[in-house]
Amino acid sequence: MLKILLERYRQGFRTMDWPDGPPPHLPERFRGAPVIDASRCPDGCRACAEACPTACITLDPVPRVDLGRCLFCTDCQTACPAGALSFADGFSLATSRREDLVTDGHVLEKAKALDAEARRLFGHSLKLRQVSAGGCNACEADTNVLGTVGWDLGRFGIQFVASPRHADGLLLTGPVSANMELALLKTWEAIPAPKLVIAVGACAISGGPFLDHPEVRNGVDGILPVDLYIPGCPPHPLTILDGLLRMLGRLPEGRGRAADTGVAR
Amino acid sequence: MDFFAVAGESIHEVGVGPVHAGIIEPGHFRFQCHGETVFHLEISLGYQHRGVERALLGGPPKRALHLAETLAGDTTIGHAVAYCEAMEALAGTVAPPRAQAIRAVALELERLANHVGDLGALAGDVAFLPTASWCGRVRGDFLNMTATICGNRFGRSLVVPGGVGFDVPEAMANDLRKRLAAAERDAQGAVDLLWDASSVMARFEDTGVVPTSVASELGLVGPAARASGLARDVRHDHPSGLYKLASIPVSTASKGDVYARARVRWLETVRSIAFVRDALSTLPKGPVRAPMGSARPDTVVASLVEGWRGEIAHVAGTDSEGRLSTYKVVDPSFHNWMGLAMALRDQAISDFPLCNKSFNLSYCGHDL
Repeated sequence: MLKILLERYRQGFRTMDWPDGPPPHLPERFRGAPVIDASRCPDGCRACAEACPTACITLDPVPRVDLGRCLFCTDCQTACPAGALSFADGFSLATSRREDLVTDGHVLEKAKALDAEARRLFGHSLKLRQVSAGGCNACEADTNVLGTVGWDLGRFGIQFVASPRHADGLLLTGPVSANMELALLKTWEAIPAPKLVIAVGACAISGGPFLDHPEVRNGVDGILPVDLYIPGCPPHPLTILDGLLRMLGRLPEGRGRAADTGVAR
Repeated sequence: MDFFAVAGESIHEVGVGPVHAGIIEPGHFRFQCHGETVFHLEISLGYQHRGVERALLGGPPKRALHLAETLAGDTTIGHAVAYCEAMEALAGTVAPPRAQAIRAVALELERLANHVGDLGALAGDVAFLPTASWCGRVRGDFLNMTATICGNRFGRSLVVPGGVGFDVPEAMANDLRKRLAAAERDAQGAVDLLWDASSVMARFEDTGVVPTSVASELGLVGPAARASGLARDVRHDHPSGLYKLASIPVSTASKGDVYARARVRWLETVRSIAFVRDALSTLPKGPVRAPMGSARPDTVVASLVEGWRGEIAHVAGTDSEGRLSTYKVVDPSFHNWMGLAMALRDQAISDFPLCNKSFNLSYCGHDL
């Protein structure tokens, strides 16, 4: 017992201050939204769009990136002959609408708070049932990490529960494999209304690297109504938490202000 | 679907999944029980099938590396190295020594994150919260070291055909060594408590035993095999890259119970930390990426990597044009799921979560 107490003292208190204080330090090489500086693009060059493994870049009339498909890999950056492509350093990337994920890197309609009635119901106590439908366990792991002492999701009243009957919503990962579609729908039906859907990761939003595989359904769109899109492959835990808090209206102006979409570098 | 069934007085069946209680991948389990005692566990998978092998044929396609990275997302580095070594073998390209060293560092960081995280989860499954809490955090420290190298906690885009996509400058290597030492101290302090707590040992010891003979007959791999007394480790038996020069001792135990699997995980943690520390101090000079040649036609290659769960095997074959005509992947989980089923024989069904976590197998790695 004494050893446990001593070790407890030594390990210290490590729960992060964010969103009341600064966010945890992200590494220099962290990749937020890709940003294309069109002024540096050589005439007619399509190297980035052609290199993109999920066809998430369109160049006409102005360069745009679909964050819902983006794997945040470096294939576009490596292919660019002019150094026109960089990644912003911001982690706040979640949106309420699918179309808001299509961005030029600077304008991003961030996730909006739910309406007053939904906030009254869920704002201080949100129970979620997680379903992985073809997820590779990366999005799952970095969602799970929010329950550890460093992130302490419980302080926001958000909790992952075992039974869909106890849940207020469903957090989906994975491209919705054909073999999981029925189980996903049954889980959804078992959640009492009103209920939310949160799509985490490129797979759940668009199919990600499995886009158009006959074995998957290209994500949750068209299967369930989505309230929150959290892009990434996988999203950083901070991106997930930021999205959840924005949806619940718990990141008012002035708090979490550093949580911007970031600047190109 | 037909399942095994046991008949008789007081026999009952417990079905679980595909959607489980926690944040975890889907799979279906059927327990044939007599009271609390499990006679047999049948594991029915396939829910996670995404058609990765098929998608690679005729290519490699643009997405090939990303498909390899997501074969099992918690083993991004392991599968990416196996894929890249296969592609390099087909092309006759050799990744530069510095790239091979960075790959080994990343592979061991992946092992460290998962081993330490799982030791915490094992503690959580027996309600020993101090270790559960701290290991959950220390796991993140290792993931963040990988993110320092390549920007992503799981190592996405780090390993690329021909080498690595990111160099580790000297200042970064020094910083990583410092953070490694801090994480080692925190992990040691958290995990040491496990072995001293009689309430933990009472649950770990003699639970979920897989005898050496069974492990051998099933062909178990990785820490699960080594905990049952089988000294097999690709890093030792078929080393490639940095492992040819810097060996890691094979960590084994004999009893094959949850305690043995936890103990082997910890021994490997200690040895991986020492390996990473040395590797970061002695990174070879030179480039980190070699230009890839084109794949030779009518060739078959195999690559083996010791991922944190065990042996990862990729086999690639080309047609007369040099395109992929065969691509097969064997994740360690493919071998080890049956080991979990055997570990549950004659166990209390309430020990299932503990036994399951002591293997912590991949569902999508099995279903691909």
